[in-house]
Amino acid sequence: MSIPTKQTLVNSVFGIIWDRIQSDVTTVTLSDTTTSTIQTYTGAFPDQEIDTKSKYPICVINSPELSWEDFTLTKKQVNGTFTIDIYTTKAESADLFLDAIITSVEGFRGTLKHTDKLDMVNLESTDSDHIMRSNSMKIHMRSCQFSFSFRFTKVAGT
Amino acid sequence: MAISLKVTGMRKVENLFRNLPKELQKEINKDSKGFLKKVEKSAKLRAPRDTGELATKIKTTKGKKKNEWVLEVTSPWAVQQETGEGLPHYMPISIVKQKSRKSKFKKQGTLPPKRGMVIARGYTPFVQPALEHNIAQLSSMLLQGTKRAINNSSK
Repeated sequence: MSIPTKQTLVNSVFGIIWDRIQSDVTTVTLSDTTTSTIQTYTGAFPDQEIDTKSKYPICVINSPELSWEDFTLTKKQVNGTFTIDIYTTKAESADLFLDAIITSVEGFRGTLKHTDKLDMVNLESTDSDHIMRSNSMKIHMRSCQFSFSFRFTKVAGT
Repeated sequence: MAISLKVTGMRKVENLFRNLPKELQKEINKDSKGFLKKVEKSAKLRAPRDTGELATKIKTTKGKKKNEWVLEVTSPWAVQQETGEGLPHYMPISIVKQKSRKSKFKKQGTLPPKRGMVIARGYTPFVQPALEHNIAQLSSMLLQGTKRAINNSSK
């Protein structure tokens, strides 16, 4: 994925995280030695597939959200967040996938900082939810939100 | 004997009082949006899906007033599913014959008749349970936002 610039920040950050999660977070092994492999990677909430058990686990990599602030006289700082959600039908696998996602991003911080110029990548918060969709299917959702910052040079004279 | 008193850090205090209202508003606005996004996600998870239309119509949008965020469900069936208002009522059997519902009858071994009416009784609240699930986090989110605002405004 391309290195983020002022013009392509949203698309680049999304692509970097997407590539990383897709290559790094695929399968987890549960305590009963069975494995669980992510069936669906998507960029938005899976409205259509939510009741299709075969589509689970579903990993949702949301687009980053950004805000700007002045950093120096010549530079601005972008404060951004990106959220990754995981939907599974087993609570244990949801926890394991969440751990895998956090570990993957944590292990990637050096590359993000030095290659992609995304500073201060930190875990902001995690979230969880669960719901019975039918008599035989309970969905467990885990979510983690990361923050990052990116600096760019202002347009001259602004 | 002359006493000399030097107060340091006044600039930070001045900055704090000058910037705090603006920063507080910014952070609270950000957290309000974040909270409603969480409720939206939970509501989508809980929304009944016969056609899938209801879940897609749950959205967090900017309100008419400044710094106002609104969770809205624009589907006409939303109130009925949420509160059970207007139930039980008759509905054309053609709706039951839609693909998603037909499969349920197939499992039971019977297909619905081609014409006629059925009585709709059931409803599934989805916004209120989502709100109940997430409301406990609101105070801690606002507290974090206030802390961030104080830190930012004293810079």
